[in-house]
Amino acid sequence: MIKKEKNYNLIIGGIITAVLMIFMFIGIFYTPHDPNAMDSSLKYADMSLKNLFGCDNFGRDLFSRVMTGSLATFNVALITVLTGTFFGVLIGALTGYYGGIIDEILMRVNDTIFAFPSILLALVFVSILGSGRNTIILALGIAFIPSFARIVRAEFLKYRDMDYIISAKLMGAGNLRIMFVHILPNTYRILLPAIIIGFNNAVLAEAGMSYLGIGVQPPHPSLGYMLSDAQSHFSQMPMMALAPGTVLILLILGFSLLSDGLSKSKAY
Amino acid sequence: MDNILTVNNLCAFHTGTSRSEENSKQKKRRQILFNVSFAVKSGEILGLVGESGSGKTTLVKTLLGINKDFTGKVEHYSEKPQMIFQDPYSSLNPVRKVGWILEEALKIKGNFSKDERKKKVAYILGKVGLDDNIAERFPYQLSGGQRQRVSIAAALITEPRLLIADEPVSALDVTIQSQILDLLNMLHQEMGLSIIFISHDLRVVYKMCERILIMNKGIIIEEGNRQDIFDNPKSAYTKKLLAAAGYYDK
Repeated sequence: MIKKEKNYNLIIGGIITAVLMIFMFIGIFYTPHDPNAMDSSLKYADMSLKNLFGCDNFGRDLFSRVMTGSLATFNVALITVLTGTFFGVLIGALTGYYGGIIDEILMRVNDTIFAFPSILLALVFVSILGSGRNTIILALGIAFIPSFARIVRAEFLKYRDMDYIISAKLMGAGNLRIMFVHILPNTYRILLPAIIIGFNNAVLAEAGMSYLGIGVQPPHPSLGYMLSDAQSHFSQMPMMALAPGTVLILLILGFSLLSDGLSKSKAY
Repeated sequence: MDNILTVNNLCAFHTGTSRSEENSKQKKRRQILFNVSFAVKSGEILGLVGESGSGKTTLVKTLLGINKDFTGKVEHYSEKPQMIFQDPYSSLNPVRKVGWILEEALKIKGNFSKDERKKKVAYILGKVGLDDNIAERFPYQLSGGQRQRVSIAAALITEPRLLIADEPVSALDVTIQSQILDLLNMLHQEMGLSIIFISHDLRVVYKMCERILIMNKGIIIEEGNRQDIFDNPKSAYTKKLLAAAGYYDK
């Protein structure tokens, strides 16, 4: 028997992610200060017990803002990835399972979207629908579909002619049942890490969009928007950039380690 | 005896790229079976012998309704036949527990309560010589022989009258082989099961089958009882096969 090594990636990634999630979750109900309340007496206030990360150029508490801002970023990324996964799995399953002309058409559409830079796509949507959270979710969600569709399609191609699928057909299982009850669970070892990596990309993309000012709209904080705010005040108050930046890095690091650990952990 | 399956003048086709021209996109439609006619009698084990490429797999797929490109007549006189496969490592869904795999057939067939399903699973597991607790295991936790028993259980849980066994023992150790063959023989006798037993191994066929079909290049070369085929082969191809297996001296 092989000695079981500790999966440090999984453990450390899990801890980082868990801690961040706890702070985000608390941020829904409670923040030390109102994240949008301005107080000119606290302008550029230093780190203290009262204001853990200090205050920004309007005297808003940075710690509270990071708490709610990371939640906003997290939400956008999560919904984006779930949208991408849902439609990606649907398209991948159909094309991989049936093949033929549907496969050809959908995969060429897929290639087209894939070739389109997501920032450009987002800008197109923003110019049509106006900027804001939902536009970003829509644009990024669509941009994320092709990569998932490809992964799932390849998996379905691999599994659709397996003996156990033939035997499920002989039992009389319908196509939908075979696709989603018999084949789909087999893809989780590939799909789960892909979802987590996709989530990381979505976090970065959201931060990028908000940094460019087309994402979550002020005064509501998001990590990207806070970073862009910090630009002109970096010399007076480095914490304005450091706090959201560090949380962003930790968020991505945690999920990357988690994904790494998951793909290394052998379920069988 | 009644027939459970009759096949009349079956010509089957296969569309696809051949191995040698895998890169070309052009798909060719080739005829695989030529005027195949035979019958499976209720309650018999019919052997189907042929080398690889003789059209055994296409025949099976056509009988099961997976290959729909054929002319001629395939008539089933029972519910859909079930099948067991050669490779016990690819015939069970790796992410599902054995119990789930066995229950799935009943769920699809419908009208079984949860208790009934559990009862049937326990019954069929006993029938194929496995413990109840196997139901809680995943396929990768089982040995090749155990997996093949589970495959047989999954095929038989809906009580089909015809079972198609495609080289069911050629991937197993010799000792396990004879256990599985004995099991199939027992199920054949106890449940009155008809079996189409496909193999290239004449020893195994000799042990199992009362009646044998010899197939080559999509044509049934010879059909007869075990004794006739082994003692008194008519066609040159059958003689060659027997000689290669050490049964027949020229």
